[in-house]
Amino acid sequence: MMRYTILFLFFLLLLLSPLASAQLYWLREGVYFKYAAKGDVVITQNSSIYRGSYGELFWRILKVENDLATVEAIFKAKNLTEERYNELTYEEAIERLNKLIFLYEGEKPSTIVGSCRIYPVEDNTWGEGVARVCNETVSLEFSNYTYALWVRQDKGVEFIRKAVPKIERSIVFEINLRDNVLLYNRTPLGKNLLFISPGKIPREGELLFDLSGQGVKVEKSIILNDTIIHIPFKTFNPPILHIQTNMVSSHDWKGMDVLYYDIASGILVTGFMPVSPLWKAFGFSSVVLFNEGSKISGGEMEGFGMILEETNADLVLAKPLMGVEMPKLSFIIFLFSVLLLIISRAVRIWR
Amino acid sequence: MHRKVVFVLSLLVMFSVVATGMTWGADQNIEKSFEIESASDPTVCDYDSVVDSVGGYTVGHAGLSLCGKASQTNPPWLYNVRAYANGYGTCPLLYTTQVPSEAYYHIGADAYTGCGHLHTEINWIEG
Repeated sequence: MMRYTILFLFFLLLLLSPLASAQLYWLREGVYFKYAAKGDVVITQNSSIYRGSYGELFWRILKVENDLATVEAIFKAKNLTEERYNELTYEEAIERLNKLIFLYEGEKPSTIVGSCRIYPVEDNTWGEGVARVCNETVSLEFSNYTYALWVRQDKGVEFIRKAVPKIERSIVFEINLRDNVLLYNRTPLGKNLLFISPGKIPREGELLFDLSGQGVKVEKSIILNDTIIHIPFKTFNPPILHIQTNMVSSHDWKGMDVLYYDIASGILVTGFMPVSPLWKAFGFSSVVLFNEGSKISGGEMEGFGMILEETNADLVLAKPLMGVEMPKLSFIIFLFSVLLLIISRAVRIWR
Repeated sequence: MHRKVVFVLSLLVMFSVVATGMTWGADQNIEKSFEIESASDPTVCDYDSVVDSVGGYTVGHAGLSLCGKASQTNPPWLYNVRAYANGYGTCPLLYTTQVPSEAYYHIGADAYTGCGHLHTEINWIEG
């Protein structure tokens, strides 16, 4: 009977170990990570493309409960220019053109250049500018805003360019720690790419998420044993996990992810991540955060794309998870089992 | 009977000759009008590229080109704007945005590759 009990306890210990080690050691309330890109930011949303020179992603854990981590994420981008291009039907374009031309009819142009008449204009939002009225085109030009309309033979095109000082958005989402799926408003959007569980490394061919009917899959999943990532925050030593997805496309962009994870902690150290369920939760179609001078290279590299700039998980990072740490409960069970084994042996010898 | 057949056949031949002529004429007109529009409009292009080499050998390269026509009749509009990006070896193409076929005085195109960021832009500058 004693033997069976010991065997049972050993099996229990074996079963408990992987469950306990699957939990990331740094995953606790208040831990935050900040990624930044000083160089390029490209955001696509609906028919707009925003380009800027600085972007950052901040996320922190609000709560960890029942295998569910509640996370707050803040996205910031600065000094942006928005460009929007709309194709119009010929009728729509003519209607808009006539409306704009009508505004300047009877007014005296300040200059005439070829077939175009230039009028000075003033707008409450954009200040002083000029209106350019030509035969088939009309445009309004201000220092931070441009609207232009061109009626072509069979269609019309509308082009808008404006300065956007900043974009700042904040969301709260959840991560199911059992399968690492990101949930926004309780809707699963796909695999979380901010960290991986060292015990569950994504495999080649694995579907990460769906993007308008296209599967974003892991195309490469390689453990780099000779790559060191030097970033201002910290040097990350091998092994590094390199994940690359397949190329997917939308109507106004095409792209793929290239991500580098610290295997010891599972956190994303650096990466080029234009597509992610996270951006979907923010309401963006794609987001490029690209640090100036980023380059993929073997051996030693200085980050690629967005770079981990700050985290308060640095103390625990000093003690990397080895994946073999014994949880307290398992350790107690183990001691108890050994004790029972010794007692049973002692009893047998004594008899 | 024989005369009727000859008559119908000659009618058919006549119609086909006229139809072919009309189609050919229409094609010529389209080509001509395009030529007139584009002849005076200069094509403006910009290129950017990067080469990665190890020990003197090229291991990767990426390129980006952007071209458009500067309309002389509707300045400062650019039309027929096309961008083309590629990347090979250690410089794979990772991300690029589509460019609109028409743009007002300025258009830029970007391509992000394993060897860095490529940028091109064309501007319609009067004067």
